[in-house]
Amino acid sequence: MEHVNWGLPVALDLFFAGLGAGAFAIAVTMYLTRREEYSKIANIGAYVAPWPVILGVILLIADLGKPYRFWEMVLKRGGGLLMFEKNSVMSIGVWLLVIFICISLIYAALTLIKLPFPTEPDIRRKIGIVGLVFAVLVVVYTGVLLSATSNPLWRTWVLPPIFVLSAFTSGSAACIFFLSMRNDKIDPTIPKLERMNSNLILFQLIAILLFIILKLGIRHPSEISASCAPAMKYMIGSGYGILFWVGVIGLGLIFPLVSGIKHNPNRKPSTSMFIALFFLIFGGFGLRYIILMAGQAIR
Amino acid sequence: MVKDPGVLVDVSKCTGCRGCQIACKEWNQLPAEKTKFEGSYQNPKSLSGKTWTMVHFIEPDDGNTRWLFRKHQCLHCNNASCVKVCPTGAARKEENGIIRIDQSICTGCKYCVESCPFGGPNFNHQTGTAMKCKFCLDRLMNDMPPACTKACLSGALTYGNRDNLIIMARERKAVLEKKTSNPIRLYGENELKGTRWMYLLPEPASVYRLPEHPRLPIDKIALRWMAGIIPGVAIIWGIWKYFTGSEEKGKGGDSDGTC
Repeated sequence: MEHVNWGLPVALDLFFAGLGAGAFAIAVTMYLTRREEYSKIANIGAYVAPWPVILGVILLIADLGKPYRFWEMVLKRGGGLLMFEKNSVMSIGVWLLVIFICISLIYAALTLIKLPFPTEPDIRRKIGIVGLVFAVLVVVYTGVLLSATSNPLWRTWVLPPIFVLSAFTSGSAACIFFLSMRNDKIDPTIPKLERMNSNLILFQLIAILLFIILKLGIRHPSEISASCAPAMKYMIGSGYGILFWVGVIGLGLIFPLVSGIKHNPNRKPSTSMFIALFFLIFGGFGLRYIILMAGQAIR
Repeated sequence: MVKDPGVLVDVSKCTGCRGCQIACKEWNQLPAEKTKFEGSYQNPKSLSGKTWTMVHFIEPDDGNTRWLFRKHQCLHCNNASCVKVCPTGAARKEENGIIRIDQSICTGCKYCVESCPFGGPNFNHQTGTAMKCKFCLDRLMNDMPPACTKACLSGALTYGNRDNLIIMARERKAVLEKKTSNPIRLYGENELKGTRWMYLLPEPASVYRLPEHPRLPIDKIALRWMAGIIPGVAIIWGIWKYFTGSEEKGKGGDSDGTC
């Protein structure tokens, strides 16, 4: 097999960063509504959010050619000054991840422990709002990083919206998953979240369709291969076609869309619901993995 | 040392002997790689972390049997993608304009590899860093031409001051244009604010496996950020509206948050 520069660890990082930041954004939004009935999902999301992002960063560091030099992305050698290159999406992303992880850990701690002084809900709200900004930026960065390259498949403005939509669906799916695991009754917020998810899935399908059409149709004279069509054909046909249509589109998007919407609030969480959530979460990973690999297979 | 150094590649003179390929390997002490023939006689297929220059063997599929050669390596752009995207500042422009990847700072994130429109830098698994042509900076410092240009037998490679090379290229262009009906392109004169390696191309750049209009990967970067931020904010707004609205209202009004 052709060697790839950015393989499985990078795909996992893009996925986990999106998942964690997506879950965080949903949790904070729920908390900001100040409604008691959403407090469970707001808390679960807060606890879940930091860990996938941390795991993603560890994978990203492990994927470096020189993992032990990772600190050079944060600190300038010798001087002890902070390293930041404003033109490098990678450098911007490193900082977004670092800041997001710090904020999401503080937010999770504030959710868990009751501070002795009475300002507690106010502090949590303020940190949540700041974290929300960074969560969105982390989610967007995963798409911008790929689109700011010379790769004929990745180089498009459609990639960031696709990744954003997918991050929110997998983030909320993870929240639903953990919420249902702890309770024997379906939480009243779940039907609402699932209805929201089906909308996001629809938009995601439209965005992916747009991605395919743009890449099959538009010639990019700036790319060496003169056209992006071969890479896209490899992604949806000869190379990753089955994985893409069956795995990502079929199981990852359409199956959860069809199966996961109708839940009686009084019913117990069913196996079919967990299966749908599983596919929804891992469809998001599959999408990133396929885009990453197909882009590097055909140049 | 030549001020403002450059190399002019006259592809019409290249015989495809691959002497430059060998000279580069020898001078820079680059290890051999197991490679395969590509197309008919091209070998290797592309540059790598251990192969910093190579000759493209091109057989255009247009009915006319021709064999075209083009030496490929990092073009040392004045507006270089690798310098722009490097998160650690390892890829940088030296005082004389040569683009170099500082091996002691490179963390091997491979962003430059994915960003270069010419495929110049490549990942070296042995060193764990990105590597590419360094314009034989060590030779240049000692008033010697780059190893590949020294080895070139056919006169396809001319090393010298970049401005002088452009004058030379225009003269050669006039000569070549008398021989063929094709317009001759001096590739690299203005591309990416000028590249230090320039090519005289008697056929379209894409035939020679070069991008017709190379662009920086971070061109229109704001558009890409906005393309993500706008839907992101819209989704959060949609969630907020949906979850704060009353149950009856929420059922109908949930779909417009994401557009």
